[in-house]
Parts: sequence; structure tokens; C-alpha cells
Amino acid sequence: MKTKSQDRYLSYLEFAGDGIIITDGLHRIEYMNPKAMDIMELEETAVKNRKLQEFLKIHSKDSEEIFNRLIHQCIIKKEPVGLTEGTTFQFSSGRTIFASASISPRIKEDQSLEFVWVFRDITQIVKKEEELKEKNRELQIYREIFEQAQNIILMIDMEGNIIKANPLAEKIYGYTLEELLDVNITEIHNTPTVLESIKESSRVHKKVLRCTHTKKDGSTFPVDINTIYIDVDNQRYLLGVIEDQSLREAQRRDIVAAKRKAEKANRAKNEFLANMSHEIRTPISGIMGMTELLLREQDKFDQEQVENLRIIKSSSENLLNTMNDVLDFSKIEAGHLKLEKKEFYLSEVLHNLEKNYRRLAGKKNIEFSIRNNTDLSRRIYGDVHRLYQMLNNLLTNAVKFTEEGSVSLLIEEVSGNDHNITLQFSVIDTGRGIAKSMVNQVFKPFTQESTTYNRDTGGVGLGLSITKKLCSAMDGKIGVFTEVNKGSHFWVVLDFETLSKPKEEKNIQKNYQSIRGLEVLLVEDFSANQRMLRRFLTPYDMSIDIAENGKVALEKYLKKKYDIILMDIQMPVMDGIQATQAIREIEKNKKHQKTPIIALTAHALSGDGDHFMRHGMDGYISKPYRVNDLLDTMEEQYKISQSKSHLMQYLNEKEEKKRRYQGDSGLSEISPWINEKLKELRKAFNTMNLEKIEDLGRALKEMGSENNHAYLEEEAFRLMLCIRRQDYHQAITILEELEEYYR
Amino acid sequence: MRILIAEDDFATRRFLLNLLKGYGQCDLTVDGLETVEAFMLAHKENEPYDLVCLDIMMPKVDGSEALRAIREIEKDRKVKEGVKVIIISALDEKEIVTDSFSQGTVAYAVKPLNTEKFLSVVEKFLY
Repeated sequence: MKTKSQDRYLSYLEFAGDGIIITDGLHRIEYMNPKAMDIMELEETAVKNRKLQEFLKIHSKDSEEIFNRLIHQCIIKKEPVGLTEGTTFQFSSGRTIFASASISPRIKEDQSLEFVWVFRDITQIVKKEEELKEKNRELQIYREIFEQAQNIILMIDMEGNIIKANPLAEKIYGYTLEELLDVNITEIHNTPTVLESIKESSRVHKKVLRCTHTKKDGSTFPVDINTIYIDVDNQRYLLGVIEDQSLREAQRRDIVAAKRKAEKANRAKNEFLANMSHEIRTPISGIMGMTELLLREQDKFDQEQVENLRIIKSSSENLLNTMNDVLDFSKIEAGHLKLEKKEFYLSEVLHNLEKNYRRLAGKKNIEFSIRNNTDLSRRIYGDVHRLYQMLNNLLTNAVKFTEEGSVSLLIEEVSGNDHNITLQFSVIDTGRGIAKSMVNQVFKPFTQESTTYNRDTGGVGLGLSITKKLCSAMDGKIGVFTEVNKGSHFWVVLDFETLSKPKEEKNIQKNYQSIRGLEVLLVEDFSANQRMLRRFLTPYDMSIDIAENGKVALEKYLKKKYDIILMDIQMPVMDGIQATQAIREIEKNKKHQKTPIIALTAHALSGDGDHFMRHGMDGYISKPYRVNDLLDTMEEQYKISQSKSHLMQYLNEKEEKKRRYQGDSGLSEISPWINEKLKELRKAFNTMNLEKIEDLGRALKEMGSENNHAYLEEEAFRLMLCIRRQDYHQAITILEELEEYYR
Repeated sequence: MRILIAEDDFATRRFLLNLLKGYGQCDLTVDGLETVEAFMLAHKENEPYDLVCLDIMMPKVDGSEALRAIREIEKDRKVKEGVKVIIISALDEKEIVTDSFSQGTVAYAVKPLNTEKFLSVVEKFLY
């Protein structure tokens, strides 16, 4: 029975914004308001007196069914129970919502129990909350990135004011964050156009390298900058990521310094090796030369003396060979072995070896032969110098260790195609052979099979180890078959390139460093040729002016100093030869340094070269020219012109001065000194003190040179030359003339 | 015959002088600058050298630079056939060889000299 007031309340419930359900103590639905039915997608008729659990499942955040638990709590507490966060209602319709609800137990007048469910769909709110959380997390990540970044990050507005800066910016620039926000970018990045370039806004990402930024304390440091424009709330900003390069710069400097040091050390080592070689060879060659001279006059000595001289000679030869080996070995050890490839014919190599070893073997009465099974007409590309060295080492050893029988060199082709060839060189002797126990040792440095061998065979035992090292430098293989008292068979297998066409690779590798960036005047009337030459030369950074005939060339020449002129011969208006002669005339009159002129010619007959040279050209190259020929010629001529500028300039200036000071101006000042020296010279002549004469002669020559006194300089020099060639008679004559002249 | 021997090492100079004095009048110079001066002087006297033996490693001006100057002087003087030059070097460096040959040099010898070979070249040049 419903009372009136009950009706009134029920009608309130009908309009409530939350879902409301009333059940009895056994959860049979007594009332359900329209909102509840709406949320649960139910019809009123279908629910009456049916159990609520049929229409509703309640899941906690961790998906547990908690309907009964909630009711249980409700009964125990005797007061309303709410839901924990994340609880979901799953309805019989299949719909699931995040819900907020309260379940209130109520004891009715008849002491029976009823439950009042009030619930609300909060799915939207929960979802929004989650989105917000997600957003916050992302923000947190961005903040971390911003704050932990190992580059400075600055955000500035279009006026250059700093809007945001990361902690690293504070740390590096030395401003606090608040201070930074008062700083304009111009205080940090002080190039005059920085603001203008900021305003040229574009979305394009820009990278600016090697700028300088200023810290608060005024000190500066190098930076690389990456910038991009960003739009926030319709406002345009510039985001700059700034990399502090000072550390990197320092590292770079260290690396460069270390590299320089290493290069210097390397150079020093190279120079040392070269100097050693020179310093040792020179005195040895003195010893050998002098001994040779004495041996040429054998009849003046008795037999024992001649024998002694022979020993000096052979000892110094041995010393020289040893030294060569040691130097070679140390060069290889130091990694200075450079392969210098060039083209050669095997036939040349074999011819030279045959000549040499036939003679050496002949001296020991052993046979020498070369057997070749390869095509000798093939042009091979490789380091022929090193090949000689290896074969010489093997052949010298073979001859050295063979007392009777023969030494032969066998050349076989292992494999080959159009571009490559693998050759095996075998040196076979009938000598003493090598004991098994020593076979592995022979390629090691400073070993010979037995130390006793040193006495009669000489050498420090570097030959084979050098050969092995050369072989591996050439990616080859080396080995030996040997039997004591029967002989040895040393073999080397090497790969070579073969050539069918003239090899250009060698030239391509040249980088023509010395002629890079030259100022070139190209005199050529054909535009096709102009274009072609320009294409040849621009890769070498040369700047090229073009004149279409000799007359234009002359005009250009008068306006500008060129490093080199390329001159076509046949041209309209004024041809190449006329232009060259005109240029040479100007150079002569104005005493200009000579500009190298290279003739470009279509008519290349032998003898043409001479013709061009006679007309003042320095070199010529005939069409059609290969780019490397052209560059080679240019390099050669430019180098010559450069070297002229040192020595020749000096000599020419001197000549010029001498001409100008013709006559004896200023002579009176120096003539007492000259007379004094001449007196000393006379004294030195009387005692034949040659050293003294040389010294005095030099002093007089230099005095003449310093005072542009040609007569004195030349006569003193003549006198020195006479003394050196032991022409004392002529020397005295010159002295007398000098004495007469200055009396 | 006039021969110019340019060599800074005393022993080698003596050796060359003794070796070559039978072939003509031998002048000796001890550095590159002297060598070029002697060369110019000989031209001035209208008695140019028939042969120059040129050491590469010399003080003041080295041999290759001296040779360049010699060729230049010859060009200026419009000498038809340049003087015969034997480059003598203690270093068997190929670069020097090619560099020198490109300037019209006609022979190259490595120290210590192989007397026989050297004299055969000298004789080929002089006769």
C-alpha cells in the first residue's frame, strides 16, 4: 500500500538525475527509476520482482565480482556503502560503465530489510581523468628531457627575448633562470644580424656551425646551433638547441696536435733514415773510390799491397751492402715501405737479371740460366723495383751458396686472365741446401743457417727476411724446398695486374696538389675547346680566364698576373706565337717574372716542340690532349717557373746590380782591405798553404759580391777554381793581375 | 774539354777529379750556388762546360735546383744542346731521377760509383 507521501517521494525519484533502485532484502527489484532504466538499458515491465544480480554485475578495479561483498559490508555496517575508484557496473545489456554508487540498507516498518541503490555513470569523467593523467605523464617526460638535456635549449620570441631555458643553459651561460628570462639573445649570440635572421621565420630546420656565444662573465665559447620555428598559441617562437663545442674543440685540438706530433716524428724518422743512408754512403764511397784509384795504378805497388787494397775494396763493398740491407729492413719495419707501381715488361727484368747473374755465376764457374714459360709481350703493372729486389736477394743467395753446378731462374704462369696474372718465380740451385731444422728460420731476420757460414759467405742475413716482408707487402707467397748438399728451390708467387691499354690509373692517383688554385689564362678561339679545358681544370680549383684570341690575351695579361698561360697557336686576329712574343717582350722591358706559357697545338710533328720553344713558349701539348698530360705539363712548367723565382731571381738581381755598379764606385773604400788580403794571399802562395788560399779567395769573392764589384768576384772565383784543379801556374797569373789592378 | 764537378764531400770530389782529370780540365765546386756561378762564368768566357757531374745533396742550393738554373740559363742564352749532366746521388730515390730526367739530364749514377760504368757514360758523353 502506498501512502500519499510515498507517492510524492516516488514522483521525485522519477525525475532524479541518478539511477535509483530499491530492492528487498533478497535483492528483488521493487522500484527502479527511469534514469536507472536508461542507464541499464532496461524496460520497466521486465524487471519487477526479479533479482538485481540478473541485470547487474559489479567488478572492482582488479575485475573481481564484488556484488555480494558490498551487500555483506552494508549489512554488517548497517550504513550506506560506496564504491572504490575504478569499480565498473556491467549490465545485462552488455553495457559496462564506470560507476559511482551508494548502497543503503534500510529496515522497513515491518522489520524487513530493503536496499536503496543510488548510482551514476561516471565513465566520461574517469576517461577524462585518465587522459589528463596520460597528458601529465607525457609532460613530465618532456620536462625531464628539457631539464636533463645535455645541450642548451633556448626558446625565444621574435624579438629575441628568452622565453624558456633549460638548467644546462643556466649552468653554462652563468645566469640564473630568472636572469635568463630577462636576457635578449643578442647578449649571448652577438652577431649583428642575429635578430634579422630570427625574423626571417620559416619552418625549415637550420644548422649554424662554429659560432661564438658569450657567457654572463663575458667569456666566450664555441657552439654549434640547431634551430627550428615552432608555433604556440598562434605565437611564433624560435627553438634553439645549442651544442657547447669547447670540449669537442679541445679534443679536436688534442687530436690535431697528436697527429701533428706523430707526423713530425714520422718525418723525423724518415729524414733520419735518409740522412743515415746519405751520411754512411758518402764516406764509404770515398773509401771505395780512393781504393779504386790506387788499384788503377797497380804497377806502382807490390803484390801484397795490391792484395791489401783489394781487401779494403771488398770490405767496403760488404759494408755498403750490409748497410743497405739494414736500412731497407728498418724502413720496412717502420712501415715506410711504399709500393710504387708502374708498368713494365717482364722481358726487361729477365734481360737485366740474365746479364748480371751470368757474369756473377761465371766468376764462380757455375752455370746460370733463365727458363720462362710465360707470355713476355704482356704489359704488367706493379712495383718492378721491389720485384728486382726480391729476385736479386734470392739469386745472390743462390750464387753465394753454390760452389758447383748451376743456378736457374724459372718463371711460370700460375693463373691469369685479361686483367690479372699470377706468376711463380723459382730460384733453383745445386748448392749446399738448408738443414731441415733450419728451414723455418731462414726467413727470420739476422739468421743464417749456421754462424760459421758468416765467415765465408758474408752478410748479416737480412736478405731473405727482407724478401719475405716485400713479398707479404705485395700480397704474395714465398717458400722453399731444400735438401742438404743437393740444393734449394726458393719460390715466390705474386699477383700482378696486366694492361691492355696505356695505364692511366697512375696519373689519376696524382692529385696535382702543387697546381691547385692557380690563376690560368686560357687563350683559345673554339668555344668547344674552351668548355672542355674548363671542365678539365675546374676540379683543381683553378680560376680560368678566357681570351678568344692573342690580342685579347695580351690585354688580359696586362691587367692581371697569371700563374700559367695556355695558348692556342692558330687563332684569328693575333695568333699564339705572336701573342707569346709580345708577352715575352713586355716581361723583358718591365723586368717582370716570366709567366709559363704552354702551347696548345693541333699540329704535333716532332720538331714542332723546338719551334714553339724558340718562340718563347715553355712547353707544348698537342691535341687531342689527355687531361693528365695537360696537368703534368702544367705542373712541370709551374714548378720550373717557381724554382726560377728563387735562384734565378737571385742571380738575375745580382747580375743587374753588377751592371748598374759598373765601374769602380766605392772601390777606394775597400781597396786597402783588398790589398791586405792580396798580400796574405801572396804569402799563402809562397808556402803553398792551399787551405789558406781557398779561404782568402772566398773572402775576396764575397767582398766582390757584396759590393757588386764584378771584376773582383769573378777573378777571385777563377783563382779558387784554379787552385782546386791544381793549376797553380794559372792561379799565380790571376793573383798577379789582381795585384796589378789594385796597386 | 771542360768538366765541372759539383760535390761537397771532399773524398768524393778528389776521387772524381782523379778519375776525370785525364778527360779534360776539371773545375770543382762545393755547393749548388758556386756550381751555377761557375757555369755562368764559363759561358761568359765562351768556354762552356762539356760535362757537369752534379751531386744532388749539396749545401746552399741543392743539385736539382742548380740543374734547373743551368737549364734556365741555357734557355736564356738560346743554347741549342744543353750541357751533358751526370747526376750523382747517394740516395737511390726514384723521385729525383724522374725529376732530373725531365730536365734533359742524360745520366744518373748512384754512390758509390761503379767506376767502369761511370767512365763509359763519361766517354759516351764526351766523344
